[in-house]
Amino acid sequence: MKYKITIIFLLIFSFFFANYNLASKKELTYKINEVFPQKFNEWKGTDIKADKVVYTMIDPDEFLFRRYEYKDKKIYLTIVLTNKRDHIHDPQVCYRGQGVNMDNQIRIQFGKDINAYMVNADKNQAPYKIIYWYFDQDKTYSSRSEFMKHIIISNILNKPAFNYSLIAVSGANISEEDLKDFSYNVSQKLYEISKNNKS
Amino acid sequence: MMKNFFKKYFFEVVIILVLAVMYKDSFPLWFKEWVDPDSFYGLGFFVLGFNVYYIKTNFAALKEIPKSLSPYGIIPVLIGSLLYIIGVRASLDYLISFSLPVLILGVILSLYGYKTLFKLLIPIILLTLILPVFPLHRITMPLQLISAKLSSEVLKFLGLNSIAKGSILYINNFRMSVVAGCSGLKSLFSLLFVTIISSYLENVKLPKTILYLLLTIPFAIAMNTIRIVFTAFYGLYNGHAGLEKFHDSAGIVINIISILIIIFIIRFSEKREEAP
Repeated sequence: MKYKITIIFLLIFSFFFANYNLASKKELTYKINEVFPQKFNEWKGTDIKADKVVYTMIDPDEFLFRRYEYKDKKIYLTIVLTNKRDHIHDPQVCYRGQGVNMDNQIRIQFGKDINAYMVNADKNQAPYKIIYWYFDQDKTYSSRSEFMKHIIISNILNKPAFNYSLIAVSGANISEEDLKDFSYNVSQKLYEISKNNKS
Repeated sequence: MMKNFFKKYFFEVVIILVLAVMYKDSFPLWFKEWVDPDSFYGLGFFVLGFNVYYIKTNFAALKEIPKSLSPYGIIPVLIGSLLYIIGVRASLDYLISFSLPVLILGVILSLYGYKTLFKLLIPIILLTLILPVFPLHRITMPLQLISAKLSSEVLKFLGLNSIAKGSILYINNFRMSVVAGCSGLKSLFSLLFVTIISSYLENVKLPKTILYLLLTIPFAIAMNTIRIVFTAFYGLYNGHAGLEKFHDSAGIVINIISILIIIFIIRFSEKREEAP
């Protein structure tokens, strides 16, 4: 009898502890493809429609995919901004699927405190560079596991982040310096957008 | 009669009610997966139906097993509770889903003992198969890459100029993506389900059942490769018009053939063992 009551008590306790003072989910207050500018410093952006399979995993309003051009330089910017953590996945999932060899990646830091991964990949036998990082509207993270760990701990401690971003900047025949500069400017812009739209 | 029933199974009824309250927010998510034809968990209602059938046909045998409280049952109950708490607080749906079969396992072990748990292992495993317990994109992408690579090799063997770049197949002038729906994961789930049920109906011993389950994985990958190869041939001669429909139809046909092969192999193998 005591044992059975203990089991029931454990289950009830789990339910109440799990739901105690749980912060309710908030809706996204802005759509990334609307708030991120088409003209960005000297770069001019053109929206690109992604493969339809992308939109089975991510809502169109959460996804920005643009080509930015300046003189003869082209950089591709991908941003996923969502309040559904499952919509943020490792970019390796997408790039590998496109046949991009992602084996050579190194951790980098740019700006004051922006942590990211840089990949010297190859696509169609040509060199292809990618810089990607994660952003919870407050801090940046280079790896998905770091990002998820922070989200989980914050949620458990009832200090949840509500919006999650994955940012990937990539291009063929583009220098590392140009890519890092562009990435830095993107991250600053995202901080600004996040600050202006904090609810 | 109802009064006697509640008197006899009071704790069991209370536990079921508590579990229902704990997972009340998860039921709509699970139901949505079970009714979505594109979902990887589309077998939900089949499995639930089989579980009801299983418990009904084994009810007399279950009643005869002497009840023995097991203190070790508290371990999976504690683990399941922890998974549930972390899952809810961190909004990790797959962790919440996984906590349910763990809790059920713990409760059965605690209240009824090992023998009853062993008897109910099949429905518990099947339940785990129909709940979203895995972050599936981590499984679909490797399967997509394997499927694309294997299909490309088969097409090359058949004399075509084929190359796989990631999950994209290039065959002569034709380009085809092996997307998550082509990864073979859905058919793998259905084949695992058929293997478990066939093994149960043919009274296959546990080690052999595990062997059948392990062999189902490469079998499912092979059959999915065949589907992709057929689809590639269709695309090569007809382009992208009607390609998706052909792919879906081919998937149904190949899945039916795969299911029949598995049923036949298990049945034939067990009949050979029984024959003097």
